[in-house]
Amino acid sequence: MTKMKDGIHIPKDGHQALVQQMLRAAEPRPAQSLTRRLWPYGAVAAAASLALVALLRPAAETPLVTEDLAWEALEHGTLNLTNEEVTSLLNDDEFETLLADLTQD
Amino acid sequence: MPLKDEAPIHKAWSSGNYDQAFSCLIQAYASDFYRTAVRIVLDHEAAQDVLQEASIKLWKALPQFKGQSRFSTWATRVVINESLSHLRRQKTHLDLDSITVAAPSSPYFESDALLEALHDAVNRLPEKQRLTFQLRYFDEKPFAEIADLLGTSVGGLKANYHHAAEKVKKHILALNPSYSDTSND
Repeated sequence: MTKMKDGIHIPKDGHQALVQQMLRAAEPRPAQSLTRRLWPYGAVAAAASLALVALLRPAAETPLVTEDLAWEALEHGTLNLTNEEVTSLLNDDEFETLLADLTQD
Repeated sequence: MPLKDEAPIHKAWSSGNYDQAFSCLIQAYASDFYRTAVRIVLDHEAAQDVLQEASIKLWKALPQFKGQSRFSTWATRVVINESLSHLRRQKTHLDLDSITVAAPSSPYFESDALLEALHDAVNRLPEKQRLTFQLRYFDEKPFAEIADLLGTSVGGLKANYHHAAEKVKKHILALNPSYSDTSND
């Protein structure tokens, strides 16, 4: 072990303990890293799917698909939409059906 | 202190294997990071907390490393910044200049009277002088690397180090004139 001028001498097992602590601190990184790497592709795919659905319905208005919405859909598998977002995603018939479902006893 | 070979880190990093590069970096420098951190925060557990935070930051930033310095320089800068942030979070109304702990509280610190006096003197220095002295005297880093680490000019650093060394010497000699026989820097 090299003598250090500051008097702080870390033995090999101390070094290994520090290594393990530091590696452990960043341990969740594979999942984080995978999510980080995949999220732009996932978001693009989610946004593209929503846009395609909208395009295939000529009567519907252009949906309000934002990056946040796409990310939310990707991350949680569900979407929380405002009234404006819902109306932009549904045509008149679908909206009336939804309202009927919601008001049904 | 001889420079460590960073080829394995560089090889893994340049091929996009950041897990491997990160492991090599930590394996090579964990003790150096600890020594840097504990000399600033002066407490073993606080130094460990700093290393954990620094570890997360290093991992996240590794893919964006620009390769403009050695990996160790870049990583040590992260450790220093994290240590200073930690210290300021703990003592929000104080700064490094007001710390008066004599020496690091660490199981790895092998204390003797001269080392106690040396750390006591160093810990009385203003922040910039203190960091400069630690990196130059204790770690024997070149001025160019310290300038890179602290974001300052080499000329300014040399002046800082000169002032710091004078103050340290004066403080130690005031404590015990017999230390003049052992002082060699």
